[in-house]
Parts: sequence; structure tokens; C-alpha cells
Amino acid sequence: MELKVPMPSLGPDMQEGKLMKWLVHPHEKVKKGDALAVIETTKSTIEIESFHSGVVERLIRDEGSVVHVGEEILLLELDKTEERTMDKKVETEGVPLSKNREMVSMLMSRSKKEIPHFYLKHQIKLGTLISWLDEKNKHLPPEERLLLPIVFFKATLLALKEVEDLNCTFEDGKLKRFDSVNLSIVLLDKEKTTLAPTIMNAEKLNLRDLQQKVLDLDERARSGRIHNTELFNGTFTITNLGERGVDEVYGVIFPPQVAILGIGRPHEVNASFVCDFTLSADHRITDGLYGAKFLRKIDSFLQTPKIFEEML
Amino acid sequence: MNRLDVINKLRDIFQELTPEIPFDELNFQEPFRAQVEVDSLDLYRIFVRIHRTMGIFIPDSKLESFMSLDDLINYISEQPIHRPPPGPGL
Repeated sequence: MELKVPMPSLGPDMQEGKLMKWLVHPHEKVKKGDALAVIETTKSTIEIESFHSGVVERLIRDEGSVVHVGEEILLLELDKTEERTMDKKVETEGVPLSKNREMVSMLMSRSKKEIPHFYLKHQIKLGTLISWLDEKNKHLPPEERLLLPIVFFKATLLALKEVEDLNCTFEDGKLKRFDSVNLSIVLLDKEKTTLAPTIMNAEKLNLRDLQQKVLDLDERARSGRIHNTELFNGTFTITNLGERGVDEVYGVIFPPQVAILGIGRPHEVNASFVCDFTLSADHRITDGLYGAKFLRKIDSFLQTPKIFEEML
Repeated sequence: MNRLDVINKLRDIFQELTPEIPFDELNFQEPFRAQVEVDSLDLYRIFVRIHRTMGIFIPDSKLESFMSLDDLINYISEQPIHRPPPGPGL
């Protein structure tokens, strides 16, 4: 059985890629996971790998060609075991991935392949913060109610200012540090696939404007109205999808960013409200010491909610 | 507010804000979050509407105690109604 391998989408705005170099030859055996070719996009140069095992039948496109996403680049003769698996897959689950799922799949695979993640967790007591929030909210018009996650986001933005090398990107061996935080927030689209649109210069926003931006992104994510341009330029990501029912969430870093903060579901422990904050970070760029400092900073801001009074 | 009034108002709110959740098919005694997928932004929208239409403010400190819809209905039924402060454009 022959399989035509297409030019993959390596990012949500990728229209085409340049086939820089073939890493396989005709009649060569390849295994699932073997590198097939080097592709250059407008953002980076990436090795693409085979999702199947078999023998290279033909290289359809030449090195140096610019190929549109989805156009065939290589013909693979699947090995017999793979063929049976493919037949079975077609029968039982022959549904192609959605565009967004495909993009997430590609990014997350790249992240786990390239980035040596390390993980930290810190449990933060929320009693003082929630009392402050209840007192604020009960005097506000309902529509101006301030959301707990927004205060978490603001504390994170403040902490990023004080700990270096978390608000940055690492690409092609070069570290870029940013003064402003382009904050990517993990949300769900209408198909319940994650996407992480970005709020540019988020540290400059007060709590109300930040909340408005997050609510707007959430509504547009659910109705499929996020622009491709909003999915790039993030310098740090927060996921609080943990609140959908788990106490801890350990995120996978969105390359070329170097860290992601996970916020779990606020819950009660010994009659106190707590929330587990986790950090996944790139060990090539930073160390646990700085990660720990960052989580402790967030904690200290959340223990002194009066500081948010002037950021409303 | 009596229980039936609360249920009718909640049904209207859910139908408007989360039409994908079949309110009448939910088990009122079972944990709410085990039956439907909601996050803090969904809850925010629901609580804002409860505050606006029923005059009941639900503090964050109570959220953990609302395991089921019955918990929420009982809480709302027991609260005195206060006219909420006017909102933007109201």
C-alpha cells in the first residue's frame, strides 16, 4: 500500500514551506519517527519525521522547492504490519485531525522533542485573597465582578518582572528577553481543542482591562473567531484548564517560549482554600532555583491583595 | 424566593448562556461538574446573571460548597434579595 506524505502544517499561519534537504533516499527503509526532510518556514527550520514505517518509493519534490501545505512531497510504500494497522485505522477511526488539532499536535510534539522540561509545584493559600475579592465584588455591579483567575494572571505578570529568563523565547540557539509580556492564555475552541491566543503588553493592563481582554478572547475562541495573528508572539503562557476538575496541571511549553504556568482548581484542604500552581520550564534556559523564586513571588503577591487596589 | 421560582430562573439563565447544557436532564443531586464541562468563565457568566436577575450575590468563598445544583438552588432560596448596584448601561 502506497502512502503519499504531504507537506505538514508546522504552525497555524504556515501556508508553504521550503524543502531544504532530503534526509532519506529512494528505496531506503524508514521507521516511524525517522527524520525525512528539513523544512524551512518563515519562522524556523524544522526536521519533519515519518509517522509510518515503510520504504521510500519516490521523492516527489526536489530540494529547494517551495511546497504548499498539504501538497505531496514523498511516496512511501508502507510495510505490511503498518498497512494492516492503517486499514484498521481507516475502518475504525479514519477521521483526519482538525486544522487546530493538527497544529497543536505538531507544536506539542516539537516541544517535547526539543525542550528538556522541568516541573515545579507550589500550593498557595487563598483565604486572604478570596476574602478581599468577596468584599470587593459584593459592592460592584454584577457585570463588573472581578474574577479570581484574573488576579492570578496579574500576580503572574508582576512576578515575571522580578524573575529573569522566564519571559523570553529561545530559537535557533538564541535567547531573546522581553521587557513586555505577551501573555498567551490557553483556551478551548468550539471543538474543545486547546489554543493559546496572546494578549500583547499584558503587564500594562489594569485588572479590569485584563479581564475584558480575557473574556473577549474566550468568547471568540469558543465561536472560532480568533485571528491567526493572535496565536503568535507570545512570550509566556498560562493554562488554568486545571480548574475544569483537576488540582494540578503541568503544561507543555509552547515553543519558542521557555515556560508555562499551570493553575489548578481552587479547592479546600483542612478547611482552607488553596490552589496548586505549577511551572514547566526549559532547563536549557533556566533552573529550578529561578522557577521556585517565581512561584514564591506569585504567592507573596496573592497574600497581599491590597496591592491590587491600585491596579483595578 | 421559593424553590420553583429559583429553578425556573436558573433554567432561563442556562438556556441563554449555555444552551449546550440540557438543564432539565441534569441530576440536581449529583455533582454538577461531573455532569457538565464548565470553567470559571462559564461560572462567572452564570453568577453575573444570577446577581442581575435574582439580586443574589454568590461570593467566591461559597463556590467550593456548591457541589450540586441542589446546593446552589438551596443557597439562592435562603438568601434575602438585594437590588444589585446598577451595571454599565442600565
